[in-house]
Amino acid sequence: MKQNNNLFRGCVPRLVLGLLKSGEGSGFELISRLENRGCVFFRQQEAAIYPVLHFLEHKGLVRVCLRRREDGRFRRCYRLTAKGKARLNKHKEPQRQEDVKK
Amino acid sequence: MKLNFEISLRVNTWIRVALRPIRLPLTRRTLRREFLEHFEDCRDAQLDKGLTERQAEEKALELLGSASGVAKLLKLVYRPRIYLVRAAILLLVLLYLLPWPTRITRQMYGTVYWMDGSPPEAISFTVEGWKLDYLFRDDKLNLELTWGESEEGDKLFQLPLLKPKEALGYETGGLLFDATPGVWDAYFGPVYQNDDLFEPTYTYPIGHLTLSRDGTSCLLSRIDGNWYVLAANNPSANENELRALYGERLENILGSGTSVEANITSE
Repeated sequence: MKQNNNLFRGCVPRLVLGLLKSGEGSGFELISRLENRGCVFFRQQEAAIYPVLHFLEHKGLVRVCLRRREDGRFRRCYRLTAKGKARLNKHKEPQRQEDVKK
Repeated sequence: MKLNFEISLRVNTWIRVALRPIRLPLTRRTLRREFLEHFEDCRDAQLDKGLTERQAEEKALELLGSASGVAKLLKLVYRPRIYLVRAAILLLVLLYLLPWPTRITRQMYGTVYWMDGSPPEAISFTVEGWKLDYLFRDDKLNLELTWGESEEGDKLFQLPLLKPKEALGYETGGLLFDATPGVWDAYFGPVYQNDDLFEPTYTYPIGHLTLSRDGTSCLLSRIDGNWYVLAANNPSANENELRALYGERLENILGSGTSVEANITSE
């Protein structure tokens, strides 16, 4: 149970928000982006990204949108909201300040 | 324009905040669709890598993970029971607070049946007001009855009527009358008369009025002892209705042994 809660509290939501900063994407695309960067966090259970996405959607940090693919089918995609961007920047600012101090 | 835009934004925010507690949990259909999309994307990716279709499907399922584990996680996110309880509470509060308003407006030309044996008199009366129906609370009624002579149209009475359930009884002439709703299918309230003869004008109670629910007739009692029934058009048809509606009442008021028919004068 604690592990499940950590999925929403720790760095995972920030990680997903960071993935969405480069553009909207479905759950599969986000995992692909993550793997391209060398991170295999969701390798064991890729579907675990959806609870995180729904959690972020519930918090108003991401928004669901529908995107039409080449084969004509619609895909549920996630996009950063203004609140999500602000949250992302808020987490980044202290890190930058620390870097400057160093 | 800017102001309108700001107002619309504010209203939009309020609506979002108000709707937040009644947000429904994620449906199984949406979840299934999302997993299916993921599975298809994953399978296509494996096929591009050169695997056979069966191998690609097995690999995609393996990568997707166990469905039960994900369902547990989703329960943590949405807490559907909490949202349903909150939605139910909000719905009950709204049903308790918000009424179903009904506008009541009637203008009638009727006949007064004097209870003291006087001949019937043509008269007009107007009933205006709002009836507020609540689901769990007593209904509220704010009616104004303007009663005037038909030819001149002078206002003789203007009276606010109470809601039926407030009027549990009244005392006049040393007798206590029961006006419990249900027993007596009518609206009931005190009658006030405006006195314009002297300055300042003042209003004083002169009796009680009982208005039938359909608004076509009323029974008026005065402190000086006069009783009369005001009915809408078609007096002959109304007379029977009035006897049915007010007969038992009048018998109670006038005392046992008093014939109601004898007291309702007709043409």
